[in-house]
Amino acid sequence: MKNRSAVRMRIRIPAVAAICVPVLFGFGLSPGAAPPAKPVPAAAVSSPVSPTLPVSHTLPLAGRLAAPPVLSGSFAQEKIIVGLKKPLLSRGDFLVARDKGVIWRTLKPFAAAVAVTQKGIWSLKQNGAGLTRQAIHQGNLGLAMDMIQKVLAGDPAALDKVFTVAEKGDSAAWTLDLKPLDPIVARVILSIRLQGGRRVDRVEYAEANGDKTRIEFSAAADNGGALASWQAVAFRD
Amino acid sequence: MIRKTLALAWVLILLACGAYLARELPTASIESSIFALLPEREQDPAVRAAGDALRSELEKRFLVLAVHADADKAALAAEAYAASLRASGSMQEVACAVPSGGVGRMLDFYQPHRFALLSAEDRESLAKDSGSLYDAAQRTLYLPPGVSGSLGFAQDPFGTWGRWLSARSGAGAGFELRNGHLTVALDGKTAVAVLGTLKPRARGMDAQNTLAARFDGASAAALAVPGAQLLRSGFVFHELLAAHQAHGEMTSIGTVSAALLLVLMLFAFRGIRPTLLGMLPVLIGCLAATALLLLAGGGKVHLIAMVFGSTIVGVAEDYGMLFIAGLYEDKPWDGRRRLRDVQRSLFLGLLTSVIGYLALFFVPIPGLRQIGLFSIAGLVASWITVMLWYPWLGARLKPVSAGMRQAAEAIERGWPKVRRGKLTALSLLALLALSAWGCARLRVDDDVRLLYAHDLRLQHEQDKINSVLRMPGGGRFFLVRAPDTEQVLQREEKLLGLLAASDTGGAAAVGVSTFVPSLALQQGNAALLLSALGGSVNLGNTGNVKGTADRLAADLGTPELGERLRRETRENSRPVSLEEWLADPVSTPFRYLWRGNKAGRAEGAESAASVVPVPAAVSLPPDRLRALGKQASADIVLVDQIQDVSDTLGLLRRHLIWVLAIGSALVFIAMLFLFRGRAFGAVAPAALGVAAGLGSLGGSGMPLNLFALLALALILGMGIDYGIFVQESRRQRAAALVAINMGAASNMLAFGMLVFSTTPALKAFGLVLAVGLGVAWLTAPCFSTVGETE
Repeated sequence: MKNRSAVRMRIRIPAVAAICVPVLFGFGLSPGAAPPAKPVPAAAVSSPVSPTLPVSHTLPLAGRLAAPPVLSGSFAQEKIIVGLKKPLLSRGDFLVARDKGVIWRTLKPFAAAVAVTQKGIWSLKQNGAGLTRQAIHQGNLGLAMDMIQKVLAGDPAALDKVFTVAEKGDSAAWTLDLKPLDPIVARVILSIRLQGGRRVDRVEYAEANGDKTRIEFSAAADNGGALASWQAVAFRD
Repeated sequence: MIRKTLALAWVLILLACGAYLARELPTASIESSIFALLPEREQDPAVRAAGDALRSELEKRFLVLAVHADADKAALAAEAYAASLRASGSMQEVACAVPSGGVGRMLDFYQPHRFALLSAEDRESLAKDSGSLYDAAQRTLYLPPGVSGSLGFAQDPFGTWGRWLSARSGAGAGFELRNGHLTVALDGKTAVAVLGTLKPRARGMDAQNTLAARFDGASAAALAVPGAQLLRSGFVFHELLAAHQAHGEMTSIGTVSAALLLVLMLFAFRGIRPTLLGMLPVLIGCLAATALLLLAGGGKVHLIAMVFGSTIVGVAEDYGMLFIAGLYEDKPWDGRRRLRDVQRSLFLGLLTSVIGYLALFFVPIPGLRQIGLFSIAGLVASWITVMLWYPWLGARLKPVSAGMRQAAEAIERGWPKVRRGKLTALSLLALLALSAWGCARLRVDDDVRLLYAHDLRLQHEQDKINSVLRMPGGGRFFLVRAPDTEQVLQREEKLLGLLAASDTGGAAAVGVSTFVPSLALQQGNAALLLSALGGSVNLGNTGNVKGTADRLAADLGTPELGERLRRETRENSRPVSLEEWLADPVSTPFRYLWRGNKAGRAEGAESAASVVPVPAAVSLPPDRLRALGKQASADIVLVDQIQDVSDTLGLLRRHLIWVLAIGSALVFIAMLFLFRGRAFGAVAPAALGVAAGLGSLGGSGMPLNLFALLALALILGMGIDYGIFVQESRRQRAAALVAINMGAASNMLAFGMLVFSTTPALKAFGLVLAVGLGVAWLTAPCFSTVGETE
């Protein structure tokens, strides 16, 4: 009988977050990573990109995503939800910390913040005593985080594993059209479109239920890699 | 004349035994569970049945991870492995990708019940503050897709359903889905899982070889991907490996010992006939004892009692040996006379053995009594065989040559004697001291896993898998019983809640209620949601506060939204029932968790039950787990199968120690009575043998367990025989020595060779026997008291 640890079949529900989170945040952080005015330091370029892109199998992003430990920026989002008359507009800021997670803070039309870490999704609330976290969902997001790291490390080839990737344009203005390879993910996400030049400027989602999301990123301050104390609390797994 | 009649009667009795066995044995129920050796009152039939069912279910399943630095190559290797197994036809199911329909089916199945299902976190925050539902809806509306866990505002406006489903997977093994493959990150590489279920299969060597070949073929197919690596987990791999090793040992150890034995006997007795006469008593003894055991058990017999019993009946080999050792006497061979000469020795040997093994009846363990019955019946039958048949069977044998005889006499004369020199006595004392040193280091280990050949590589693969995936294992589970289904589910929920709240190393236990919450919980969930939505329910003194539905409708400028949310929630909150779940394919991988609902039983009886396997990674001590079970409900028991078997082995061991002690004491008293002054010399070889056997065990660091004790029982039986043979052989000492040499040599060849086994329990048995019997054999002639005076 031994430890012979018997095996149980386990079927994983579509980990939508596992796919969406890295795609969104992995690219969303590029504004902070490479502000347009600043030339990319040579050391951060892992494979020099020819100015006459695109070459068929080299994604235009390759080598461009320098990955400082902490990146932040601001966003404007428009969501069109089936059955609702008006599009939902929101703005706010975000922060990605390597090996820790992501904070997505909505400032308008109301203030709300969530943190996504390896251990789950948390709602963040500021009160007199400081920041409190409440679990919205607990569970392993290891692979999602792994994807974020890969993209952060300038390995957008990781996208290839999850999506069919079609690219248009040149290195100054490119478009990537992503379609999920996984039929289960495809039940939820129809397509994702990324647009940008030296950085990602826009992400558009089309969901299978007809909802559409468009997020515009704008340049952000580089906060030098330090986390504010409330951010450290938000990431405490 | 009387002897002839009796011999004939014995033939008839044995024929009857043979006929009885031929008729009954094929249909007899041969029990192999070790628990069946215990008294009835110490067993709980429901626990045993649940344990057996769970074990047979889990033993069919296996998991193989194909590991590669490149995720695509890992997937390729996994696909190759699965395809190869699938083509072999030995598998009921092999999966390395989730069928895209599978998850869809799950979504479809739970859809009409989706508002009756809440994750623990959502239920807690809703119960604390109904306003949290509004926040949840805001997150669905405003967070980027996927981040809130919602499956979309239209179906899952609060994200509760998506998070519930996601938690069902979080509660599981820890896989992530990648291109439909079950994937897990491992040491910076990607591992893709192949999950399989074996078809019910035939037992036996051929079936095992075929299966092993199929797994080898699959491995070869997967490893054809350069750089790929495989990790295996599952009972079947251990079983195949153990069978392979056992087969290898049976052929190598078995062949060598049988060949050596035959050569030795042919050399010593110069013929096949004396050789057969030496073995016959053991065979007859086993035949008669099996028949008697079957008869006494009413058609039921325990495998372990038979195996242990027949080992002990091996002592009877001494009887045949003593008889044919007469071929070394320096007088013409006469079977009848030889029997007359040794009948006192034979009788004393039998008597002391029977007295010793009678102690087995003093312990309240049915299994040990069966062993006692088998051993005593076998020994008596062997003795009868020698006494009644050998005057005829051994009538015309040829004595050995004069040269052989003189050589045997020279050996006997040259053997060191305690009486003759101080050196011999001192050597024996030194041996005793060495044994005492070994005994002082003796430790006890009843772990049942000692019965299995341990393969480090397989164990390493297993540990690696357990480090990243949360698999049930270790044979531990909770059995949850209640009068009806609803109460089982409620008790299970309480248990799972307590387990989740305690430190289980991140490994969540799973039960039926994970997939079908109790009716009470589902109704409570729906009520919480509807109450938080507001409007259509009586809000009592919070009635002036707008419900979530109306707040959202106002925010979004969509007045009809409030009523739509309330209606959809009401219409899709019908609780899902266990029957529906069991009838749907979504339950297939988990149906084994449900132990059934035996309707129609007497009122108040525990008629429904489920099992909750404890994940392998849970390191809580059994006492703590047991306490958690009791805290959830008095009717929840923790079953630890490995521990239970080990405990049983320990119980048997403790009783057997007493048996041996009492048996030895009885034998010594009998010897004092029979041999008076020479009693010490007659028991000394056995005592030295036992001491040396135990000492060798302690000295080599091997643990004392039931099987080592069995070897001690054998040493006692044979050692005493040797002592008696030496003490009784006044005139024909060379013949007695030949009998001892041949008996000991053949038993050492038959059992002592097991010291080369890779199975720890067999190795310990072999070691104790080889050393203990060796010492009893070599020291027995030293205590000969008649050396000089003759």
